[in-house]
Amino acid sequence: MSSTWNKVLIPLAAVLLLFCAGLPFVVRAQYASTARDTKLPPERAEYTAFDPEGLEKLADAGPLSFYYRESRNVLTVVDNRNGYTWKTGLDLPANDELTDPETPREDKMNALYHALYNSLVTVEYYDSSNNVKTTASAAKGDAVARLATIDGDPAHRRLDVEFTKINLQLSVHIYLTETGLRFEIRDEEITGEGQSRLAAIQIAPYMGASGGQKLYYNAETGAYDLPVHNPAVPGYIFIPDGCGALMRFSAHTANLRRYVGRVYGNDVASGTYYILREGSAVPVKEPLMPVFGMAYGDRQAAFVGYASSGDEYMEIIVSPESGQSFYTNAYPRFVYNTQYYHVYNRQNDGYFKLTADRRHYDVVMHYQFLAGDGQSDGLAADYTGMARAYRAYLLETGVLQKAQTTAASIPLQVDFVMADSKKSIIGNQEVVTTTAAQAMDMIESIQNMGITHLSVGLMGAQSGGITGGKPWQLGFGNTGSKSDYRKLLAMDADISFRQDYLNINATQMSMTDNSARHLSGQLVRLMLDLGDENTTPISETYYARPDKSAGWLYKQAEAAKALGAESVTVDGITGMAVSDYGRNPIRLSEAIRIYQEALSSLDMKVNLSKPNQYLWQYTDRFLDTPMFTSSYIMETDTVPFLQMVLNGSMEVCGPYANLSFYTRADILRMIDYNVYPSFILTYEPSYLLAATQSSDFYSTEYSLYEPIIKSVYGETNQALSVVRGREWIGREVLAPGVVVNRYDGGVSIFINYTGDVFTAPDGTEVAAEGYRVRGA
Amino acid sequence: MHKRSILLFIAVLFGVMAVGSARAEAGYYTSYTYTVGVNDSMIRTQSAYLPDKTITDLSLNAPEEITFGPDGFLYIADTGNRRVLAYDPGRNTVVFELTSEEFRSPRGLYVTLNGDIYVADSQSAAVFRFDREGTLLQTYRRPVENSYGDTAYNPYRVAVDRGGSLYIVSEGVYNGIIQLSGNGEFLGYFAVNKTTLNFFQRMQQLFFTREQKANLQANVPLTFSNVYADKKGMIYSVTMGSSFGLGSQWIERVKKHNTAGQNMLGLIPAAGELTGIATDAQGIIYTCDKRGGIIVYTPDGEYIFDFGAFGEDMDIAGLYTELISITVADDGTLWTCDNKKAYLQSYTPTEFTKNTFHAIDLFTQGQYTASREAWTEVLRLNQMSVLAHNGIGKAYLYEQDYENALLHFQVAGNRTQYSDAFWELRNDILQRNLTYVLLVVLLLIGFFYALKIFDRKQRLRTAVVQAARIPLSVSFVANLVFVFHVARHPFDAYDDMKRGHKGSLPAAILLYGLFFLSFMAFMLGKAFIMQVNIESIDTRALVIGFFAITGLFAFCNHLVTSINDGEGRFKTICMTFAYATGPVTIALLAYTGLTYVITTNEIFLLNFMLGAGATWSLLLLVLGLQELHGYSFGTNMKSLLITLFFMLIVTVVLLILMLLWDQIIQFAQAVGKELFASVFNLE
Repeated sequence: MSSTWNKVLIPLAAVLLLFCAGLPFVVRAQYASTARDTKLPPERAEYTAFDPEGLEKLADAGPLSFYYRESRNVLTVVDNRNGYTWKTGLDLPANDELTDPETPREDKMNALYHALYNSLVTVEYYDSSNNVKTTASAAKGDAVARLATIDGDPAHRRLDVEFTKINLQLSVHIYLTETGLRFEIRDEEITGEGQSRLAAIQIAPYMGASGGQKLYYNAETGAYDLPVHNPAVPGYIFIPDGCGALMRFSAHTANLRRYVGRVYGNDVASGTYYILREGSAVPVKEPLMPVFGMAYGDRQAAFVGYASSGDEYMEIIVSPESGQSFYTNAYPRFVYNTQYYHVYNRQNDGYFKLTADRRHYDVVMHYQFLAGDGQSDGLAADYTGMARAYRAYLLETGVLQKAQTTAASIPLQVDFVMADSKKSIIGNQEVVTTTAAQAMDMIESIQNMGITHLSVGLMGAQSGGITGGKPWQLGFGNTGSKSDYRKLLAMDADISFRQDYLNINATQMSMTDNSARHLSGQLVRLMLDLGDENTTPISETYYARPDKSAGWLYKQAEAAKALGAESVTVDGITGMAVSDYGRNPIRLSEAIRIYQEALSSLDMKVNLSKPNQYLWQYTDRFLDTPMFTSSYIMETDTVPFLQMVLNGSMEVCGPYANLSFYTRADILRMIDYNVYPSFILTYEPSYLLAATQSSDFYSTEYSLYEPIIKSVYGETNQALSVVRGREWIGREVLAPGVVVNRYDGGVSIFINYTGDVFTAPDGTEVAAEGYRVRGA
Repeated sequence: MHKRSILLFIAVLFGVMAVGSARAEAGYYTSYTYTVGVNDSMIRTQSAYLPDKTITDLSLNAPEEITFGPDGFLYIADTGNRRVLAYDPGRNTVVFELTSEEFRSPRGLYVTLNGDIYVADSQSAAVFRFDREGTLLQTYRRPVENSYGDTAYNPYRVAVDRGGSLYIVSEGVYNGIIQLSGNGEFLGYFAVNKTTLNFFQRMQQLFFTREQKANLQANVPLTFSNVYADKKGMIYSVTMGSSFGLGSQWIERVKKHNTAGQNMLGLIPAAGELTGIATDAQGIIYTCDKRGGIIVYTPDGEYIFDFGAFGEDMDIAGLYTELISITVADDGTLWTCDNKKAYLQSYTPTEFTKNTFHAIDLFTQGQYTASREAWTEVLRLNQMSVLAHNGIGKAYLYEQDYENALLHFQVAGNRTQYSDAFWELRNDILQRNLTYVLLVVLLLIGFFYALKIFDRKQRLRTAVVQAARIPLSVSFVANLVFVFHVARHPFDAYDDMKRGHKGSLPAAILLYGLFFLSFMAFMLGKAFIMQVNIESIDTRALVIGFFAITGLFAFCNHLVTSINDGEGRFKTICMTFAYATGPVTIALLAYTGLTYVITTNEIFLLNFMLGAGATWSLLLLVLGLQELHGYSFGTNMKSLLITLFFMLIVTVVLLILMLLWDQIIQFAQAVGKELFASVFNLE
């Protein structure tokens, strides 16, 4: 062969060889991040310098300077750490105020929108035909607003607003603090006849809003009709949906509706209808805490906003760009009155009406501003900084305490389905899937795997099982005798009875006295999706009155204690507060207080299922922690905000792993989110439950899951036991699908969700679909 | 399936907000997955598909159809923007935009294996064929053949088989799917939906005059809403119309057509307004409906599961405002399209789904043992999967392991195949034990012959017969056994009874009790093959119904005959009734017992036996009453008819009373409350 051939062939062969060797990497698709992941932080944002023209300086506090523009009702906060300017409104001039023909005009702006864009407070009210209308503090002709200084203190101002059109007066106290702003709207300061028609108050609805569109002058037509969208600002809105979600600012071309997060869930007794129906859509995860935030740029500027009063009536709203407005904005909305369907006969005929008296409560809303990457104060201007700032606030106010960890290994949460009932020839029949003795066997078997830190919840131990068991006593049926349970509870594990004190049904008790009543006077009920009077024991459930729930919890806990239980596991009332409009009405705030008192009166360890923030004070273990969001289309990232807030104060356990949560990605997510594994198990096969209300526990048989429990626990324990008792100080996305969590003492856990080995800038290698603990 | 549709319907009517507690919530699914559980009830199961990507940034406007091309790109009929897009899901970019001056409302889309793009445009009244570069190759306008007549031609969906024939769904065409040859020749209507008449319409057809009929709305067949051709050229279709319409749930709305256009799937469950259909390489069928429901069927049309939901007032991945089209990628990923919200939503199959499809595939290929193992894996993921229990049962059946097959068919509630397996098992047992059975029979015959020889003087026989008669000397027993006499010689026996010679009230009560017990045993105690689910039987209604009907009969007959010169008294009427129940009691008991050894093939024998027993008893009752009252045959029949009529009236009166009762009680309660409140001065 000639050398010329060699010259061609050898490089060709080399190229071919290289190509083949590289093929596996080329073929494997790059890791595609979805809205279930946290993506790389936004780009750096460029922002304009502060321009004090036309502003009145109010005060300086710490790194912040405060200014006010009387004509537009806009409060401006300059963060001197980074020069970023925050405004409570868009601070836009009205189009007719503009004289310079070169200045573009704001698109879609009329007098009302001009007021809404700028105002500090926006008020929603019901008009004479009960339609919701909006007006704002800066609405010329409709409202008069005046800023006053209180007691000569420049840091305490009060905006007195008179909404002349609807005859409503209210005052907003503004406290200018070193960390940011605090707004207070006191109940007694809302006056005037219009208060009975007050629907809701929005605070600073356009603070931090992004988007907008300008109209440029068109010489040809002689009009402002050349639309140009404002340049997109890199940044996001944080909302407490599920474990935490980010909505990055972007122009969706699909026509999306706004996000409404009802803090602490829906109070069914004051909802629109007294009959609720379970659908085939999974219920959305309502915020467990009254907090939201916004961040601009790559850890440049952010704020976190939270309510310390009025939180139970708070909604978190994110309104995307839509046909009405080109802005994306997020704000708190405090609800004062709602419409409900008032039924006046047995045919369910009725009409919509407002409650006679609006809700009475004080609103206190805090805004804390964050700047930079957190090197100086540990509070980065991103969702991690928001979480840490919020956690600090909760620690300060006693909602959270720092927990002392004693055990070296992480806990394993296991729930046993003991029994449930199904329809029988006469009445209902108990289906036993686990007896007390079998539970003991399983616990022993799990402990023999070397899992010593074990927490067990017993579901449906009573006669009648999960559906029929009475929430106020402990009367056992076919699952075992009292002495069997005494033996079980004496085992070396944290064993408790798990009971739902909220969702009740007619096989347990009479509904007339025990169920909460709707505003319309009817018993509130939930029609079950697959409930059928002929084949299932129940077709509807009701909601227990808060005072009843509290009484039952206390009684049953006493009975459990007498048997030797050291902890209780509470379901139902933890994630939902229900008011009652029976003979002696119990308002929502009072219902919350009743639940709190009931839990604080227990001198036992308390495990709660997805508790709302007002119960965290009493929580030792947080069960069924959300690991995802509700999948709103606007959401672009999922973040462990909730977990970061709770970490170090209680044990946080995840959803049941055996119900489709034990894939490789799920285990990595548990390690990433610092959440402990949990399982739901039966001794017998789960198909026995097919005709019961527990038919959605589709795979629970212990023998099937023994090896999976061992492997899932083994892996999560290996990673998470290292950081037990350490403070979670930061979380960073290094590349798509690669995350590092930083804990104090220099410990980091790298998690690699991708199918490729990852090498961090510091040289740390993380296996494909693996994790790596450094610094321990 | 049906039940859920009704529930959905109610939810729509009341517009009630959907809430609930998601107990078994683990993944990021946004709608529940339903499947058939034991007892044919719908149950929630783990997610079959998880929502993956939501594509909102393609500036779509009212897109109507999506489909995958052979290049792996997703083709989108972006109807509102009058264009067709090719979108690369891997890179999340639009790779190709097809526009044409002719496009006015490009709604339907089909991409052939060689990359030709067919676009159905209803406003342009044409189907266009482009090559993969976007060059217009052919335009299919309204067929000119006489046979097409003046039928409308506004194509909005199109499919093309491997021979190049077009299958077109057009607005305003009720005759069926228009079939055109590749060069535009009208070949006829491929598949036709039949018209069906509901009860009222049938009545109208019967009684209305010609003028009235002319005024009625024309009863046209339901139109097709989509047509689809799989890679092998097999044609599928879905039919419009809501399943809530009167009787329309009995219309075949998901069809897989043979070459003659006939449906090969039969009637399979479907709900909602179906909009789209697609299949994958394995032949799994996916359909979608307007309100967001997605149903998945096996290639044979067996329902596997459904998921997807209507988004009430929020935009959540996997909830729809108007789900218009569904298609499936080669890797099993589903893509769907929301018309109103103009976005795409993809789903990835879960392990559960992959395993289920794998097991179905193995079974279809005849690999029974392998499929059983695959089904066992599905069972591990979901112990309630009826499909898996059925699959394992069938595999065992083919492997001739009948006992295991029985076990799984019973869990699955599959009575037909349980019976098949039982037949085999019984056959097996009979064959294996035939020798023993014959031996026993021979021995018995030998024994009797021997007895005959040794007991020539019949001393032993007499002794046995006499011993057997001893209980008869007890009058109660004699009165009880008298029932057999009644059955054989009703005239004599009832005459004896009337005269008070034979029969007694205690014995009659016992007979009545036995009748009740045999009835209850029949209703609740049959073998699995014949027994409807006990959970779904209202036992109280059975008991009350039994006593109410029999008691009412005796009572009414007494009233009717006492004013008609009947000689019987209430007591004797009851006794006559009780003594007539002998044959039916025996038939009921025999029926119940025999269900444990028969298969569905032999049910007709049992039914015949029960029918005979019931008729016999009825005859005895009629004759007995005739004898008792001293009536002629005619008078007796008349009095019986009046009795039945009277029973009807009493029932109606009682029903009205029961309906009013609720209100009477409420009225009393209201008055009581008022009194209580005013006395104690409460609010």
